[in-house]
Amino acid sequence: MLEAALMLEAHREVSNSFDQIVHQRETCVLRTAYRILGNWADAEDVAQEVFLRLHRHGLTFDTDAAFGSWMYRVTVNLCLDKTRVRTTRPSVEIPDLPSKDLSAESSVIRDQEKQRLMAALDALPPRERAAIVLREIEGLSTAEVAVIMGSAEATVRSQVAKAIARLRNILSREAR
Amino acid sequence: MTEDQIRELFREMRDEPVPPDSQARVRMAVAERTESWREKLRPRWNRHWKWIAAALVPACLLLVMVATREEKIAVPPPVVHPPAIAVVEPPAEVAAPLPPPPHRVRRVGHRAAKPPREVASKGATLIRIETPDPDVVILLVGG
Repeated sequence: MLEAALMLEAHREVSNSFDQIVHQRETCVLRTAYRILGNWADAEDVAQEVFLRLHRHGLTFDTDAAFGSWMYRVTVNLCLDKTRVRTTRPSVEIPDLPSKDLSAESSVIRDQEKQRLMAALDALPPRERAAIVLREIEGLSTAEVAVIMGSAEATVRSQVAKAIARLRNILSREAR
Repeated sequence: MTEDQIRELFREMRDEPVPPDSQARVRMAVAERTESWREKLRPRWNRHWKWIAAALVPACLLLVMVATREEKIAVPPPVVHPPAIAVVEPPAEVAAPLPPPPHRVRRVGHRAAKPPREVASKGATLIRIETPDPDVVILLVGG
């Protein structure tokens, strides 16, 4: 009886800690998935799968960094799988340039610029997109991105540089 | 747009909030799926399957060994009967010995005797001279 009660308590503690992890990490996972995939529905699917995997495997990590790295790696891999499954790539429509009207609010202009950047991001190859999302948006170091993506640091540096060059090309082409 | 502007926009994106309904949907879906009995069992299974397998394999081997051993025991050992001592009573009357079975003698077929030659039958004279040697007989045929 006592044993059963203790087991129930232990299970409840595990459940509570798992819920805490979900609360802490869901924003990060959802945001990364959204930036790579470009839509919230797919990002939600990926986030669910990430947390379910964590729950199933009952993994324990020595450090928070190791846990973060695992979480990013699973997220990126699931996103890349999803982009591979997509038979047709969503057509990239770059929104119009923000108006130069000085009276327009700066935040609106900024939002439009971000939308354009997101649309341009969608035109990049999946691995380059993932590299630039992790490096520039999530603010991880090159070494961390290399570990997450399972490639060399030099490769990550090259992917990020290429991605930025492509983005500049796409955005300048649209601006003309 | 310059490279710096792009990087700056990315930095701003970092702090953008995630739609609360998306978060809620993920939380609910995860909770729903982790509450199912399969998902409840799965983490324990994933954590302990090695121990379970390590315990089950020798147990199965032991079971097989015991089962085969019992089979061997179950087979009844061959019954060794004591040598039977036959009490042979002397026959009341000594029966007459049976006649031995007749030897089968293969009969050798004799050749049919050839008819005498026609020469002899045509009124020819036949002189038979017997020599002291019983195996030698001289026959003289005259016309």
